[in-house]
Amino acid sequence: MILGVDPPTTLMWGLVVIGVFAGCYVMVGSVLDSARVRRARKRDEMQHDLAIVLFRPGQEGTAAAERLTRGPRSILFDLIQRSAADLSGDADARLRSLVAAAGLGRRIRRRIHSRSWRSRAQGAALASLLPFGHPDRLALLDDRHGLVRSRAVDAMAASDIAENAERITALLDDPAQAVRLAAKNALLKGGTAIVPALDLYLFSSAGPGTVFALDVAANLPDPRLVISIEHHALSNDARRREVAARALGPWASRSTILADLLRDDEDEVRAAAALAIAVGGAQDSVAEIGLLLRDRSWTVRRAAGSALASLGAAGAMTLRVYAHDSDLYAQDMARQTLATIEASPSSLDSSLPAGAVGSGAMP
Amino acid sequence: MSMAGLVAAWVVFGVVIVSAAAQIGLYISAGVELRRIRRRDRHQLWRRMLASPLAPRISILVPAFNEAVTVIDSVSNLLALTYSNLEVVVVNDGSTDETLDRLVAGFDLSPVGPVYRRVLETAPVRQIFRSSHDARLVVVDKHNGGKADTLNVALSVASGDLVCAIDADTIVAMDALQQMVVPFLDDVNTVAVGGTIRLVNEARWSNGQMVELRAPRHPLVGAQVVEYTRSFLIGRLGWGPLGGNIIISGAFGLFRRDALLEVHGYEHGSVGEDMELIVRLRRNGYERGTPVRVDFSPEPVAFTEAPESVRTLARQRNRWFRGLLDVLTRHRAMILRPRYGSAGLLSMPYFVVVEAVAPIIESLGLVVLVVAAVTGGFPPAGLTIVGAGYLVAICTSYLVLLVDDVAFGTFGHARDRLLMSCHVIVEQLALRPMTLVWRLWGLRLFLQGRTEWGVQERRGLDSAT
Repeated sequence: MILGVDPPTTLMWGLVVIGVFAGCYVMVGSVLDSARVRRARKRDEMQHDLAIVLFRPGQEGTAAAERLTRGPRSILFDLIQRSAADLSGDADARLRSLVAAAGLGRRIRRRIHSRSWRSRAQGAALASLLPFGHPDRLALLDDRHGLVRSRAVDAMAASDIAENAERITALLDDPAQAVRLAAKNALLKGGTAIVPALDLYLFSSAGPGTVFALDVAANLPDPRLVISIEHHALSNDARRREVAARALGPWASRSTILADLLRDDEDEVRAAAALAIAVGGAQDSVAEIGLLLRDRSWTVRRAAGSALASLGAAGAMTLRVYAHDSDLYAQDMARQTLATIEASPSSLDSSLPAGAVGSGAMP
Repeated sequence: MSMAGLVAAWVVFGVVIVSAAAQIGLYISAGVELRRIRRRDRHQLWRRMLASPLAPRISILVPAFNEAVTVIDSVSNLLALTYSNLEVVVVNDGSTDETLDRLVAGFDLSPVGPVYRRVLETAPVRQIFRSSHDARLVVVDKHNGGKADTLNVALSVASGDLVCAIDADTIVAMDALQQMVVPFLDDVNTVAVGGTIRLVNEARWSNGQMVELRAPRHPLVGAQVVEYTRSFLIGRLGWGPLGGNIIISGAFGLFRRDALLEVHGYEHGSVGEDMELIVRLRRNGYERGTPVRVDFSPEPVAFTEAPESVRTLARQRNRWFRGLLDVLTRHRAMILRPRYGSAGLLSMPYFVVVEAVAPIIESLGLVVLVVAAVTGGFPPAGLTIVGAGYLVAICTSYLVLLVDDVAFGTFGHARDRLLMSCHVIVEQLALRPMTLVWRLWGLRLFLQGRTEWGVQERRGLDSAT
């Protein structure tokens, strides 16, 4: 009779307790399931309405906007947050009108000035929906929390990016890697308006953001940047040389540095230089690229094969020569590349691997 | 004998209650951490930023030993991941089945010469292959040297800033790497990040991705699902805010490559090489004066099969226990030493008491109870005491399953929850005592110095519908 109860009674109570817990688990889970399904359905409806508001203006759009303003604010806020950074032009203007109609402006400002960094991060994603010239639009670029800064940069409108290019290039050296990535993405959206600021940055900086800046330059072929890029192609840092080589691709026929980079100590740099030369169509380097088919690194051999495949008849002839080379790896790569060319002769240009020119993420 | 039975009952009760009490602290910590992470992630749209090829390069390391059944599916799944800057390094550890042949045929591999920077001492590499289909795939064929050796070869060949170690049969969620890479961007001291692994013996698959998780009908698998959920949601997550996380599952973990090379990679001869590595990384950080951070992402990031036969499960659990004892023995100098921060003061003592010693005491208590019952000396109060202990454990398991369902919407049908309700009881009343026996077996092998792995049977994805 220890514990004041006999075992059968304890067992019965134990089973009752287990039953209660199991029942709660099953029932609460099922209730949550149906709530989740209802919310998902509502979200789908609102997402559909938002698409109508943004892309089908007129009477239908007005009706959809009214339905949206009557729907749950939390879902609307979330949907707007997800769309805000990707819109431009008329759709962006309509989204602003919706924000104003739903009275979300105050809510955004409250989040921007919140003490909680999580709320500020949410506010940062929506700051671009505030009216142009509003002081809070860019306030979070200087936030003390790295993740908030990264969201603020990531969500900037293209017009803000063009006007604040120097401020964004400075963020390429931010201590938080997330901010550096976001700044790079933002610059890619800025178009040619950011070139002077980018050139100044590349000319004067050797910080951690240089690689990101070079990648932006690779995606934004502009002759004003060539001298700065060449400066980094001679850097001691292999990663910088590699991205600089890629960025020099479009100017391959004008730059002699790329030919030197074909003999670089680092595999990645040699590979990037070979691909860049192919992008620029510099046929006079075909023989040197051919030699890279004998390189010890597979990455370089593959890049050389892809480069030769893109260099037209001269490249194809070089590949045929190496298809009978004494070096078995060179022979293998040349034959593989020739097989690819023969299988799809029209896709010679697309045989360049992704990343041959910049990051492939054109604005 | 009646007195011995009563004492044994109190011992079992005490052990179960001490474990439960220690875990309640972890439950609270896990709850706080779960709320924090979900609020953080809700407002972070990382996918945009991490779509850039300049996002940190990740090399996925796949050790493969006799994985012919699953290797093609697993590698295809990895190459289909949405992370943009990716490399997959598969290392065939001298398999005796068709693992390498299937890889060569499946991905049109050709030899490119065994040239790589050998940064760690490993068994010799026979050949390195590259795929003409996908330049991101590297396959290495080497002489058999064990899992740690295989991972060290992969670590040498890998070119990523981050490396993701997985088992050959692990299926990784499409956006798992995007989620896992966030802590590395957030804090430069982060050296390792683990994620929740789900058991998916019964699930609906489409294009290599799980679309619906179902509760397993097999009681042994179901009991393991309960155990895994508790272990990942509470055990791993709860240690996060306390700074004492010392386990990242070998089935899926993301590491900073330079940090791994600094501690000379995986340890040869350790049965629990995944836990050993984390403890060594943490120890190295403390000794260097710059404590490192080991993070955990509660979102389900990878899926794997649970053993369906008692024999395979027994081998697995015995190996895990030997691994735990091995790590605690190797790094005993850390225990209760303030120099090693929360790892030395909290988590290592916890693992010694709750994970290593308590099961042994519990099994001895249960043995005495059974003997007492057989000899007629079993006190009626004994049932009450032992039952109360198990009742607490069962109820906490229900709570964990409910929290998991609320947070991640794990199961979508009442039928699944009803099945899981039964599995909770099976787990406590059948799997738990069996695990105790396997741990005692593991203890015996550990004391004999045995370090072999045993064989894992795979079914492959096709039959897991």
